[in-house]
Amino acid sequence: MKIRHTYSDLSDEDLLKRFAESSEQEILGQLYTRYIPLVYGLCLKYLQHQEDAEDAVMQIYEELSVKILNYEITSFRTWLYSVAKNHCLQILRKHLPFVFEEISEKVVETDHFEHLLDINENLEKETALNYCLKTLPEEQKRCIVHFFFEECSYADVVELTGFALNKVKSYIQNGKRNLKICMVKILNH
Amino acid sequence: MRIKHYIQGDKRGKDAHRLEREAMGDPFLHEALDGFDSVPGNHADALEHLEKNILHRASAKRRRQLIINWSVAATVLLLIGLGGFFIFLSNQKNTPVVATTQEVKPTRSSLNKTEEIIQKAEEQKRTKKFAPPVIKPDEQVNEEEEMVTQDRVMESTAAVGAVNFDKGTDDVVVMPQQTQVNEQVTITSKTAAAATRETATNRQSDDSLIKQQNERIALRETTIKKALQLKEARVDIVQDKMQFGKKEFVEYCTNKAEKGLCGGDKSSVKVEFTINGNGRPTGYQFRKFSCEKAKAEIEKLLNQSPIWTNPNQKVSVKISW
Repeated sequence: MKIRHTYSDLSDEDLLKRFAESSEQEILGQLYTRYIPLVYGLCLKYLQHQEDAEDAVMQIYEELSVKILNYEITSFRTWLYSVAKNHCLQILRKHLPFVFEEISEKVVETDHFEHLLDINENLEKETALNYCLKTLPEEQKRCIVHFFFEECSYADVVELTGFALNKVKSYIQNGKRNLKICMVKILNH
Repeated sequence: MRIKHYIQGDKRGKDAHRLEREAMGDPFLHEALDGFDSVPGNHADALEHLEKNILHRASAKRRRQLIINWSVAATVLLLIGLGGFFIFLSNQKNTPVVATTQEVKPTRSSLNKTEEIIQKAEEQKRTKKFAPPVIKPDEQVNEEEEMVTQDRVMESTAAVGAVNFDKGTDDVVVMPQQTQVNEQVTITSKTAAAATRETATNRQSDDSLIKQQNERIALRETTIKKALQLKEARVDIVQDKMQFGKKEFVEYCTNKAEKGLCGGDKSSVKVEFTINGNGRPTGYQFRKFSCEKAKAEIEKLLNQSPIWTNPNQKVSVKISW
């Protein structure tokens, strides 16, 4: 228990360093355990099957102990994400000749969007935001307002609007993109 | 908010919102949340199960590594131990066996015994009821032991040497001892006979007795040495020596039977008998005999005969001495 407690106090990078030094599987186990929910969720998304996802989580762990020593890892989280995703895609490729992967710009958009939403003491930005919000379709506007300005969760938005969860996510996604395009256009002019 | 709480159904409120906002900036988390939302099921239990499995595997791997390390160490130690043992054994084999002979001088007790036998024989002669002293195998051995006490020490040392020399094969140890016992019986009986005859002659036979014994001891030592050299042939030799059949019986009778029983002529007896299941002669039928004394002598020797090697057989034998 004492050992585990000590491990839990250490950062990913520290654990990684210790594992590289000692090759102690217990350290890797502790490090990987932190990311099991993420890896499992990721595998669920790609494999769409609970048992396959569980198997994939175990397989990725087995691969890690070999792979981890062959790479110079600066961010374990990012590296693990790519390893897990590639593993899932490889599994899919075994069953399908080609896999369609969603090309998402969400992250980049989000970064910019978060910046655009920061309207403190920026009157120009606030005016642009209010204007652009009005230009959005009603569903997108409602979802954007609930999610970003009222700090509601998806489930809350579903309850407030009566839309399905997928719809809410979609409205937020599209509304965010439209809002960004609109605001960038206004602010650049 | 921890992802576990989120997937357990606690998806409302500002904490859930914070996680969802965080997911917008983290593709890993975003895709994971998508996965949980897209596949229904008890993911919380699955996660717990996975965590336990991973931690168990991690510790099992460590235990396995420890076991492997200890196994390697134990094997190395065992090999070293065995190597040492074999080196020790080979050193023992190379140790030369020194066989020495020493002249045997009769001890006081053995001389006393001889005197007793002589006195007894003289007494018997006086009363004209002479009968050769019957020496039981046990007594023979005891007498022998006393007569060659000093020599036995030598022999036992040599025997131990022989054992050490060929520790790898147990039969080597057994063989010389068996030979020794057999020969002791023969020597003793001869010694007894010789001692009896001495009553009629003189005490000088003491010296000849000792001389005879020395010769036999030397012969025995030679036999042991030879047997040690001929390792593979030894068992056969021993077995041959332990055989007791018709030929051996004739020899036994010729050596043991009292001479001159039929008035100075050569005694001769033809007898038929059966060897029972225990290897003992039974159902004597004397076909021919020189005199009654000769018949009685052979009957006595039949009763004292060693156990025959091949039981359940009919034997017809003619003994002349």
